[in-house]
Amino acid sequence: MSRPFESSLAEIFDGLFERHYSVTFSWLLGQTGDQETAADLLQETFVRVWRHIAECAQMDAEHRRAWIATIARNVLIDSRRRNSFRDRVAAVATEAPLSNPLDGPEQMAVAKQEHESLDRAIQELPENLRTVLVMSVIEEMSSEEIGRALCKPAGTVRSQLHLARKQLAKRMGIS
Amino acid sequence: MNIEMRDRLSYGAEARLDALLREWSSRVRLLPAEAAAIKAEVKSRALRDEVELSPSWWKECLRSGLDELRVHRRSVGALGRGNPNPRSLSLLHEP
Repeated sequence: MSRPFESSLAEIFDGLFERHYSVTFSWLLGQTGDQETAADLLQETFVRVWRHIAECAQMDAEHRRAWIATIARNVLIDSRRRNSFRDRVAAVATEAPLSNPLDGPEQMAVAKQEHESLDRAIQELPENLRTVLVMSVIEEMSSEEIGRALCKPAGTVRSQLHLARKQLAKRMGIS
Repeated sequence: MNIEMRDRLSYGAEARLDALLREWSSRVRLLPAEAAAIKAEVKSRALRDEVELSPSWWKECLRSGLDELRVHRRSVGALGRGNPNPRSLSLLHEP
């Protein structure tokens, strides 16, 4: 039988998940460069959140955000220690879906090649640049919001975003 | 670090890069259904942890074992023996 205390903790968990899963996923994706790995680590992060949900009940919103970010960071560190992590990231999502099944074979091949090039170019970015880029692109966060999330000045985030885009353009042959 | 104008990408390059990143984002973004599946898996794992780790679960096991032992002792007592069958004590140690 569910007791009132337990059901309120479950509600807190649901609220935390809905509010933070997306930005946590983006951060993990930025750190790992691999969608599948990021999703696995997101799950592990929230398993740990659940285990300690009672501690979270007394925190305000800002502390909760920082608490989840710390858990995600620890999960990532543990994962890197545990696995031959770099190998897995290097394996990369080369199985990206093709852009439009109605395209002809040539267009599909070109699109596939472009996807692979872009995936590789993003993965080859330095981790700090990739993280701000991913948070900017997927979460559509401003430099100020990314700065708050990563504890960096907004000006630093803007510079890193600029560098990330510049390096990406170079790798993709865009000028 | 200042971003100087000469470092900037051309308008066309910026637009091309934005288009590529939008496409990339649509491929790697976590879909609501995927997020819901992850949340369900978290809860499922948490439930398994609860059964495996929770002191309350063990207390419940112990309590039911003791209840069973009491019933057994009563039935043994009804047969006129003073002490419970030692086998019944093993109930407490069974998983």
